[in-house]
Amino acid sequence: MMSPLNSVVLYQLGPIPITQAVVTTWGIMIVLVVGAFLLTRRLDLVPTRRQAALELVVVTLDSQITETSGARPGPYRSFIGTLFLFILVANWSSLIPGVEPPTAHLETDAALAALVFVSVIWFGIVGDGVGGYLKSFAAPNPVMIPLNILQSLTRVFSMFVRLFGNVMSGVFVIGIVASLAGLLVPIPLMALDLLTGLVQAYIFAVLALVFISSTIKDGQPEAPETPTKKEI
Amino acid sequence: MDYLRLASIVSAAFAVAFGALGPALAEGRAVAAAMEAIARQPEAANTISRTLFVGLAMIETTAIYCLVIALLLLFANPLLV
Amino acid sequence: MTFDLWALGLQAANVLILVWLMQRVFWRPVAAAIATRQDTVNAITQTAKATQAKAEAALAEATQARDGIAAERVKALDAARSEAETAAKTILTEAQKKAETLLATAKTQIEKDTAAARKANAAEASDLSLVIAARLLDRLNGPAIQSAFLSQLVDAIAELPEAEQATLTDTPTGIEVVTAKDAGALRAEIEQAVQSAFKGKPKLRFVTDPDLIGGIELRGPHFSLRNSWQADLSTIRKALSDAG
Repeated sequence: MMSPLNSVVLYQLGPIPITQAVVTTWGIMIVLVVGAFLLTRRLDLVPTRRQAALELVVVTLDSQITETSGARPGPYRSFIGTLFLFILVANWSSLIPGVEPPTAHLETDAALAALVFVSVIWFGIVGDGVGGYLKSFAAPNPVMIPLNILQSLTRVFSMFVRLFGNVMSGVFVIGIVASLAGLLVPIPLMALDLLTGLVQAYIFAVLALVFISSTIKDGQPEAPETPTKKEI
Repeated sequence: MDYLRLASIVSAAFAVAFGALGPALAEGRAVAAAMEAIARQPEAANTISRTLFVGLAMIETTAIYCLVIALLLLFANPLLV
Repeated sequence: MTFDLWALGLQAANVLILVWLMQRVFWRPVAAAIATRQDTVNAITQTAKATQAKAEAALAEATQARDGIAAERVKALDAARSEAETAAKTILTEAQKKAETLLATAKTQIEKDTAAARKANAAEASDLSLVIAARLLDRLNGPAIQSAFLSQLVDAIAELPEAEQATLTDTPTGIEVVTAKDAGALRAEIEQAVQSAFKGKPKLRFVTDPDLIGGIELRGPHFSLRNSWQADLSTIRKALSDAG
């Protein structure tokens, strides 16, 4: 049985090995961008049903951002929304036969978690300045500095492992069951996998948002003390 | 079959089994508390369910860690290579 | 277990590119559309509000104007009513005055008329009584009466002042002795009595006048001595009419 921790290299582009996950990611990118381009071609003042649906998506995302972080959704909208959409589509791409979700591979999840880590730093610096961002490690008091530094790494690592574990376990279980009884039996597991994929995409986006906003809040001068989410 | 492989397999099974116990209990408590909260305050259902989902994902992370450890033991055991 | 750093880098680049593309293609246009619509809606709402406020102001103005018109109308009506009232009052008072004057004139007229009628009645009655008296006296006319009148005449002549007696006596045309009927037998007696009454001897002419009813009168050119029923009756009439 093939280890789920391994990735398949399709072909070598010079020194760069192109894995299956990267190719699938390209496909997802093309689908997302072309689909978004086609959907947003004619945006009018009076919305059609299609435009109303798109606006519903954006408005829901905005309200989630506002409720979770209490900030204006403008700067975070595209990063958080794209993370959510990409992870969702990637998770659900397991429905297509022969396609393995890129999020079921270590490299993709690690890349996403690394992007979240970088974005926390980026938004923290943009929101509070370098000094403010550095001060956010001293919240609630300077004794917590080593713990906060450790936390900023571990929470990203936990996001990485969580997403990878969930998606990979879904794919792995379905693979095992399909190898035992290929017809109809994996269907409930696939439905569960869909739910897990949606929830994990949502969790990933919300956690990224929570990390960013908590960093910005901690970095602000006289911000009220808010308990930061502790990660395992 | 050497003892190391056997121990790895047994440990993997134990990891998944006991790693699933705690999160299962914890998720049950969390869902029960959330249900009670929603019953008390139906208008706060949105916030409560969002927080519940985040919390459930956090709790489930423990089980996932166990699963990953089990998989590492099975497929990427550094002692067996 | 394999962990490909190249794949990690590729995936990170992919996701970054995807974020950028989606921002260009999806999030920004849709958010812009929402913002545009919200702005438009706000603008429209504000315009509508402004229009509504304007309409309300116009309505208030119109209401005010209407109220003003109504008040003016009420005022005009009041003015017209008071004017009409005063006019009616003046007309009424004038009519009253006129009626009063008319009434007064009528009253005075009536009084005058009644007085005149009474006077006429009285006159008629006195006339009638005088006629009756004249008839009665006419029946009483006789020699006794004539002699009584004669004596009275003589007394009257005697009472005349002497100068007048003289002028009478000297009158060339003579004195008319007027009697009601032809004196007849009495003529001589009368002539004698009169001539004896005068100092001189005046010429006497006898004239009959049935109007006298009874009595003897002397008439000269400038003088008359009335001594008859007629004279008495006319005196009475005059007195009556004067009294009436």
